[in-house]
Amino acid sequence: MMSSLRARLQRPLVDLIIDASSIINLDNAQALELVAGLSDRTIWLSPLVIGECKPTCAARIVQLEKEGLIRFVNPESVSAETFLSLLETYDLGEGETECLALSLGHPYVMCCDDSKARRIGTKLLGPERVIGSLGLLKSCVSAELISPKQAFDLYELMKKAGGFLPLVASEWFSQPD
Amino acid sequence: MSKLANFLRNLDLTPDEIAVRARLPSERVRMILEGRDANLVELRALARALKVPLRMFVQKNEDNSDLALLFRSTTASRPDLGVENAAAFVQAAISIMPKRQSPPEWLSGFEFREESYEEAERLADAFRMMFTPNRLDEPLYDLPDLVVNLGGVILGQLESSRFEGASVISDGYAFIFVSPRFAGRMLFTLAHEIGHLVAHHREGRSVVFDLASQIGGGRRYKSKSEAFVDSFASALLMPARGVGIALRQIRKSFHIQSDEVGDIEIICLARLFGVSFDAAALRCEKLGLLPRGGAISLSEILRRNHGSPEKRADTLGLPKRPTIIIPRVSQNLLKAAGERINDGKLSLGWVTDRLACSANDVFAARSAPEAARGSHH
Repeated sequence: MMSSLRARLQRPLVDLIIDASSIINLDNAQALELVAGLSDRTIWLSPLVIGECKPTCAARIVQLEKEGLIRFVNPESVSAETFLSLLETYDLGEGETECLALSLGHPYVMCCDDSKARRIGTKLLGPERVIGSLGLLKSCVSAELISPKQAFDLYELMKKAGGFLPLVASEWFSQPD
Repeated sequence: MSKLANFLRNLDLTPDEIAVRARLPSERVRMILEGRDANLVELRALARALKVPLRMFVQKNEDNSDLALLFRSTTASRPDLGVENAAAFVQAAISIMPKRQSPPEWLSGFEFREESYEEAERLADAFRMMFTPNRLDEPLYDLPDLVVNLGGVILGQLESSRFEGASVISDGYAFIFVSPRFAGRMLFTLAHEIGHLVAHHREGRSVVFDLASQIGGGRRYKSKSEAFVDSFASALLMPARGVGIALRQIRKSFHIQSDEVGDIEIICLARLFGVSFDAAALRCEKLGLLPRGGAISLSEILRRNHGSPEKRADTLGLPKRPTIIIPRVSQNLLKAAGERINDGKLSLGWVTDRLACSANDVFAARSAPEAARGSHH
């Protein structure tokens, strides 16, 4: 326990930008609050993500923002030319492209559960700056917020709700990164 | 020059006009036109003002495709975001769905002869005989699922548009777009567009966009074609014998003795068959149950005395209209899109942008039981 706490305290604070695919997966497992509780991350969202969510999820996001557990990015910091170039080159959705554009201008770690967007994110940002909602659950296990079994149950809820997620076993959540 | 400046300079608008529409300072718009970089907030303001999706600023090929040009030529020169989105929807759907060589086979089962009331009745009866032979007289609340399950049909919604319905044949698929409205109205629009598919669309590519005034318009039709497909929709949703059986039961339930058909019977018919009061009243008029002009007169009286036919129905405590679900995007397309996302060929955001649906719609299609998907194509 102490070593884990020491490890957490030693970790640098990471700016994490989460796109709609991951937010919806996390919300489908009711895991938004859990992830927002990771002490070594500052969670950022585009305000547009709210429009993608169900009303209950949107309300939770607004509440978490009020509590200071998540923050909204400022789209004014994104250059239209960069955005349009990315949109034209990679043919992703507008939300995914916004996340990429923001991550090119700031050292965000991009959290996304879409396979194509992750592939492009990895190419442009490097693999160490791309993560998915399962990676966040794994971080919650590392931070001893939940057990590997609980992480697996949350993953199963996400899959059952239609999430685009890889097949993983329960043990995956307890393996080191 | 920047991509945005390039796009804006090709518009037939002055900097001040763009600024007013986008609610941006004129000076700022001039700077952007001179090549200064805009930010994402300004870009979105410009897209909203010009009624174009963001990708329009860069996607030259898609923008100028035959399909997009066909859509624009069909709907005249006035920009319409719904039309642009419908063109993108069709284009995306064709790229997602398996290739088809010819329009849906079931359409060839209809032999359209002429645009007459009798022919509309005959085609509607033929549709019922072919696809709902065991419930010829019953309401068709499941028409959205039914038509998709016939194969080769894709449903979408027509949002942010002055048009209320559209039907398209392209690349072997039949597309039907319905504007989000009150469910009874949407069901009628859907049936109206099926009428266009059955009677007016032929091989190759064709597009029909319908304004609200062209659907369920009583005697205000601008064209014989629209009157014809309205008659088809009316007969399909309210088959003559079904109306007769229902009317007899309604009159018995309410102990109505009068020889004339009144507002209560028509409200009940509307709710039973899942259509609007006006659609039910016009059907009664066509079937000779109301005098000529009676539908409009009754509707006006109810609006004047009760606010609306629906309020009158609620006051009388009449049974509610059943739930009719007309999906934003049909399950067959969402399911196919889910497979392409899963394979990493398309991104979830690309799909939701092009199909004007939410990520939750795509997720729900993947989590829906196989039996309820209706995934024929």
